Amino acid sequence: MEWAWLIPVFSFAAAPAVVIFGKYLPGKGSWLSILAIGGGFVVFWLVLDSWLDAHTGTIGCFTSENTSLLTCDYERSWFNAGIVGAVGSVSLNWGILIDPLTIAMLGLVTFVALMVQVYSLSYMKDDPRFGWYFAVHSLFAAAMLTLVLADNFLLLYVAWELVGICSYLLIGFWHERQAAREAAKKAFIVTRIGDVGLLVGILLIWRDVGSFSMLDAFEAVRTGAMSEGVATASAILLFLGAMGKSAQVPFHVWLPDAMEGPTPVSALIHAATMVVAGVYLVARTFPLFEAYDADPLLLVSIVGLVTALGASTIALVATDLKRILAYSTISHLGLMMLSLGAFGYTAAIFHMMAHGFSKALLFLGAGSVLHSTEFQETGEMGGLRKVMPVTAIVFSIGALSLGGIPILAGFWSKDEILVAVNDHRNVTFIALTLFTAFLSALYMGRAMFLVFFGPLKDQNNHVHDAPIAMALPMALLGVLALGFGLISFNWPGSFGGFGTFVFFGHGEPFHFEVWLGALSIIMAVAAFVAAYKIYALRSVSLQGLRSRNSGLLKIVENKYYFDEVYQWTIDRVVLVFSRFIAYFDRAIVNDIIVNGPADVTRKFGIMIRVHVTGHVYSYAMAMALGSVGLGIFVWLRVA
Amino acid sequence: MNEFDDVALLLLIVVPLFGSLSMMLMPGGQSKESWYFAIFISALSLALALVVFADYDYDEGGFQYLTSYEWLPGPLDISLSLGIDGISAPMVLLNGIVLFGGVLVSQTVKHRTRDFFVLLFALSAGVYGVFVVRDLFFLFFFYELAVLPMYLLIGIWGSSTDFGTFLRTKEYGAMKLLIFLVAGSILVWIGILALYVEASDNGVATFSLQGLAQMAENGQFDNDFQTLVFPLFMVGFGVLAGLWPFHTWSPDGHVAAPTAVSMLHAGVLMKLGAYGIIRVGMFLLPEGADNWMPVLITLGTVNVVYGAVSAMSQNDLKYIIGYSSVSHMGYVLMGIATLDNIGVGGAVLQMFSHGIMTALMFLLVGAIYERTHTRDISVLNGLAKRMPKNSFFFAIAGLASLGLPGLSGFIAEFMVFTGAFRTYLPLAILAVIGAALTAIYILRLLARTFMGEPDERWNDLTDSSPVEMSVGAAFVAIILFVGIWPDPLLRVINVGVQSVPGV
Amino acid sequence: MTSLSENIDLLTPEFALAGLAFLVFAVDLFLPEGRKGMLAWLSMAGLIALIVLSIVMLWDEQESLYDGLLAVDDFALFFKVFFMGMGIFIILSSMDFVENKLKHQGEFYGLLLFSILGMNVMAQSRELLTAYIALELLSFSLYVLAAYAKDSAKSNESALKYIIVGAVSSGILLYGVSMVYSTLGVTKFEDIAAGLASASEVAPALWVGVGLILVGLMFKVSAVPFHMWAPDVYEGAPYPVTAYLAIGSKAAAFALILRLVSEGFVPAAERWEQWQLVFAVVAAVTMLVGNLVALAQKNLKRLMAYSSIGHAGFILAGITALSSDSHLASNGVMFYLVGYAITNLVVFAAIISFFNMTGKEMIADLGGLADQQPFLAACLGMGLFSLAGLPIFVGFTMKFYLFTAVATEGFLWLAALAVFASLISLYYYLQVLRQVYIEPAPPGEGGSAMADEHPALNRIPSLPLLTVLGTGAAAMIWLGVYPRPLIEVIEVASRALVT
Repeated sequence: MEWAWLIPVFSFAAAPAVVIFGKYLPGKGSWLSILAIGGGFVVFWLVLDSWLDAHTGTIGCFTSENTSLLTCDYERSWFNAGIVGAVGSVSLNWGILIDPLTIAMLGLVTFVALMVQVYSLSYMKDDPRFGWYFAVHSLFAAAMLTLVLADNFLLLYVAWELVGICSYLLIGFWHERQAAREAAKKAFIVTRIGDVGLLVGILLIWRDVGSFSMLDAFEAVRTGAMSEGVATASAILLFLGAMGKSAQVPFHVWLPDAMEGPTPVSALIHAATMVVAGVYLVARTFPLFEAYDADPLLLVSIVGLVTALGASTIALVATDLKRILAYSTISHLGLMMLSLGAFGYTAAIFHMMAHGFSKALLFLGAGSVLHSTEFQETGEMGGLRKVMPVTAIVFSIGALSLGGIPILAGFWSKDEILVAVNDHRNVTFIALTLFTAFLSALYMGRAMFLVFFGPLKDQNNHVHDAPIAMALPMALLGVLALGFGLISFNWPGSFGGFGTFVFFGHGEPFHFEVWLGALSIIMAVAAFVAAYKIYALRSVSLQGLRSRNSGLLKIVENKYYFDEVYQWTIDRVVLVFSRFIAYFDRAIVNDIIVNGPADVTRKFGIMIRVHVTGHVYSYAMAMALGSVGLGIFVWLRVA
Repeated sequence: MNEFDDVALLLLIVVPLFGSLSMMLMPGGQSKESWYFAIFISALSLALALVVFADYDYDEGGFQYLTSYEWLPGPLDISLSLGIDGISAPMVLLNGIVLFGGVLVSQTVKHRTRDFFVLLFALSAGVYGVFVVRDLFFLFFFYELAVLPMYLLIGIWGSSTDFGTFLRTKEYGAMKLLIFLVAGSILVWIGILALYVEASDNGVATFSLQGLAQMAENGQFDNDFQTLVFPLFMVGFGVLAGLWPFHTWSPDGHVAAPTAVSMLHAGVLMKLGAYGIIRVGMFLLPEGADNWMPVLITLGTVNVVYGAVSAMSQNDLKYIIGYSSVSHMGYVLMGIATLDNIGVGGAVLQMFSHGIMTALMFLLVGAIYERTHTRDISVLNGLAKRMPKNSFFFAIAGLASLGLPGLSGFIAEFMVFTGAFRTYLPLAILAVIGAALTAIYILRLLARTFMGEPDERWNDLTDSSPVEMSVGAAFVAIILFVGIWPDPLLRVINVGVQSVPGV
Repeated sequence: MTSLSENIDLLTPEFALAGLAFLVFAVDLFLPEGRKGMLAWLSMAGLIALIVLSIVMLWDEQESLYDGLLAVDDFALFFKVFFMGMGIFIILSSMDFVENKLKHQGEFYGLLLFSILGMNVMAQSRELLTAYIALELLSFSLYVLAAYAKDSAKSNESALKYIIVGAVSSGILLYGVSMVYSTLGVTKFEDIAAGLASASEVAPALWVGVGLILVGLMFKVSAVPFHMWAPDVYEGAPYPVTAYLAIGSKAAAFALILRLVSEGFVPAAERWEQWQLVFAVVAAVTMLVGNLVALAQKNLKRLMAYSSIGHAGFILAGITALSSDSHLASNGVMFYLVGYAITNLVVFAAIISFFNMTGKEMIADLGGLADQQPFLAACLGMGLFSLAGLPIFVGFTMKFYLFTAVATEGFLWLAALAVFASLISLYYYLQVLRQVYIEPAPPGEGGSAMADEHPALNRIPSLPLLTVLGTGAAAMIWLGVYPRPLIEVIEVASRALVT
């Protein structure tokens, strides 16, 4: 199991190799990256296997007091700040922490990354920076894998930042496009703001615990060595970081713009790497959140709910296919946070995975649509199922799954979330959550029908279906999107369902709240039917509805004006302030405080120069006066 | 102690000095020959620095390579006593590296090449001197020596720039720089005099750092005296370290300075200031330091934020980097002021890492300016297409300076924060926020300069020369190495920091 | 009371020097025009011989002649050698100038030698009247030398000023002497010290007298407020004479002050403590005014005049710090005098040779010098840095030594002020340096390039000047890096002072 560190290292090694030797290798070395991540995927299975037959006796393994899960921890020394053993010194480690949460993440990341890279082989093949693309891709995956493996906060932060920079590079991959540049910058800076919170939180914990190891921190919380104040404060600060990465309101603005990157990148970011990091962080540091009376969790659930609701409304009116998917991602991330906030630990992780597969699928599908139609606007599409059946099918699977149609993965995970919310939060929460679920079914349906149903436009006659290299990954993901839900059942034999694999505190075998399940099924189906009538058959018109609440519509269509507000703040506040400081530095600090004294001195010199008149009598006068003055002075000194 | 160890440090000073003097006697005009000779000398000094650093025994710690030459006996007891500890060893190495790189890229200096290297070597001899001497007189001697050539280096080989609203001539930059630094150094001088007087009143009239440190340890300098004198050193050396509000000489100096000079100026010279604060201020006046640290860390935080904010709206590459240096030196000052073993260690590491990465940045800016004759980021764009290697290295340097993990800057800043969190929580949080601001101006710079479609003016732009690139590659390698495996540096720094009184 | 003839041989160098001067006058009569250059070599040869002679015969002498009117000791010897050696370099740097720009070379060198004689006696005298006479001998030769460019109105005017103001100062000095004598009845330094020490309650007349003596001497060293003659005279006088004024007469006056103070005042401990502040104040004012006004100068000679005023202030600070328990201050002053002399020699040699080439003496004219005359520029640059007190030149070491001395004697504030003043001085020295190294050459009057109008600019400076520049620069660096030998000699010299 300690070999788990190989998983990221493969890809870490691949990245520079591709950059340096890529140009000499066939396929620009892209296969190196694929090999690396593939190897990672293989090692993941080995790790899973060895964890399954590991026990508390195994080296480095023990049963965590918090999760009561078998947890394995391995570290190597990295560097020492301060002399070893001296007071106040700390030793930093390369360390990996393996428990079901980590394993689940490893599986998700390696698999999706692998699929996306294979897909990219044909999607990106004409790009001049093909090799570079794969190199960054590997780095991205490697960073994310390190992040989920890290056993101490420093290493986690390191990986966290690397993920950020890789997303910057990939979103800005086509940096010739102004929009792409801006989007990349936005993504990095917005998440960076969250990271401030994360770093401060980490250092706060260190200040209190004296170590960067997560286990030490959790232990301190459990034993009460860490005061409630610190625990709460640091939990909230960590959550700030999570909000940034997981695009929670109000940090969500970067995600839609991130669509400027190549579509496979979006698939990766949304399904497996970037955005789920936030959810993972909250799950990983859950002990801090639920310590004492778990106030932070309430905050988490509220933020999650607001995000989920708000994003889904925007998704409903967005017209750009990729943006619809982007907002759906935000909304689902909101759901995950909500679930975590409602103690639905297992549900959140489960949904993360279900959503991961489905969303990757959707994006890859969307990718193949854009690839051959070269449109992003849903208005330009329609009826595509006739020309690209495979894509249509897989896309529909993804859509239905996220829409929560039974037996598809999304249904089960969403159901778990509803249960959790229902158990731990009051009725408003559950009501709004159901409403969100309905909306998400609706916009998923909308996207699906707008694109693939209805009449086919002539301009799209030439459109062809995805080539095999793109179709295969989609198919595989499709299978998972279909069947992944089954993993949550209690199976005959040793495996008691996902709930007994990943959990916090105590395992929960699969159970089903009938009325909730029924309700959600009804709403989901209703939503899809409505969508079908409106967007496929076009038999129902929304004109009346639109015109009646045009004001509300306008607000939603403008994404609640978040971007405008931020833009204004940056232009009118930050930049103005910065220009002021720059001016201040030159005009005040430099020209007055610095040059001032110098000039004064010189002026003074020029001023007193005049006393040398050139007239002898004045010299004699001065001497006389001087002598007298001196005489008096001497006399004064003595008398 | 073999013979080499006895003369190693002396050689460090003598080699560049010899280079300077011998080039003075060389016939002028032949730029190539002078360049080759300069490479030879700087390579020699780099080799020496490497050996000295590598042979420093961090298990033993303390001062090593101790040697002493009696210089002036009698009433003033002055002797040229040398030795390095864990703090100065990395600095020596840094100077060796930056000097070598600077000389290599100075191939572009065609006008009065010989004189250029004469002055450059005089300067670096001074820098080496400050890092290795253990006597106040000589510390000051070399300190002045390191500052003085700057005037001519900038004045003769520099460039004037018109910024529309205001003009920055090289004469102005050079004069300002020298007056500032000398103004700082007179404070130091007064401080030294005060120390000497106090010491001789206490019976031992000496300039020896060791002796004075001993007296300080025995508490022979009373608290009031220390509190009175420490600010002289804090501000005096602080000026050179870019301490706010005495920092303005630095960006203007950069804007005017030629590439190699900028590299040494930001890479090494500014470190002298911070080093002086540690070596003189903290070792000789521990109590004074203790009383003044709240002020210093506040100013350091101002440096961090102020520098970052003013860098955001600059349009001249060198101004941006100049202000970012101001901001980064802020971390150094903060780290020093924490009086915490991790914090101070971080400060020293930051000196090293910032030295390398700023030198790299100025190197690359120099290469760009050489070809485009502008540093205005509103004109430059899409250089990544025309100068891919240059852009790639610049990106690495930029990311290092915004504290990206895996690069040297992160470890240092992280340690500084760690130390500060333990001692001055609110300011530390402010500094972390300041660190986030760095991202804004660095990304702005990268986006404007390197990304996008290059305009046709740069169509026939060539990428940086092999020499520049090999230097750049070497610097990038160092940045990565320190970022991924800082231990080789840190274990030396740690022992050095451990011996700082009050830490 | 010893007889006049007793060990008179100890004065041989002085007699010989006087003889040399007369010899120069005599030879001058027989030399045809154009061969007068010989005289310079003659005087130099004589001076060298005298240096050797005095070292050989007076080394470690500890004699006091004529009941203590004259001292023959290491202190005196040190200054004798110093003055005569300086004389040699002055002659070297004046040869071309005198040859091309002045008439009557014979008198020039003769007078120079006489003034050196005056200096030597000043360094020896331990009694007010003797000192006064020696001072006058020096002054009168200088008056004439200052007026030497007969047909230059400027020269004559400045000489006239010099004479008048100088006469006034001499008068003041003499009056002071008489008042001291009238109150104490003695004029010998140690007797004055004794009188001051013993007299518990002293007549104001004595203070006034002492004050007036100081005024007279302050005038010679051009301390504020008795400095105003300096810029005019420096500007008007022929170049070599200016150099000589800046270096020689100042050094001699300080030699005298050094002996007077440390033998006449310092022993009277509590009186001296009362007066130190007076010196301190004069020193402070002098260094500030000198350096501040220098900021505003355009003319090289005037700049050097004010710079020399500033340096006088520094040296006075050293005088202030004289004390009976350590030689640090007197060492510092002597070291400073030597270093200052060497540095100034280099600077003046540089601007003299520039003047010989172009006949220009404004700072702005120096533009582009570095391109036409690299060596000249380098020497000038080093000299200026040294004056500003930057390493690796003697200027740094001497300032550090002197200011440390001042600080240790309880005048930290004065030392700090001096440090600050030398920062100001850096600014105007840099202004010159900037012209030399950074600015391009200004167009000549004809509008065409300077180098074309003054072809001399393309030729290397004459050999004598090169000698001065070379040796001077070498000495500056040597003393800046390793002053120990010199300081050990100085130590011996200042031990000779009876305190």
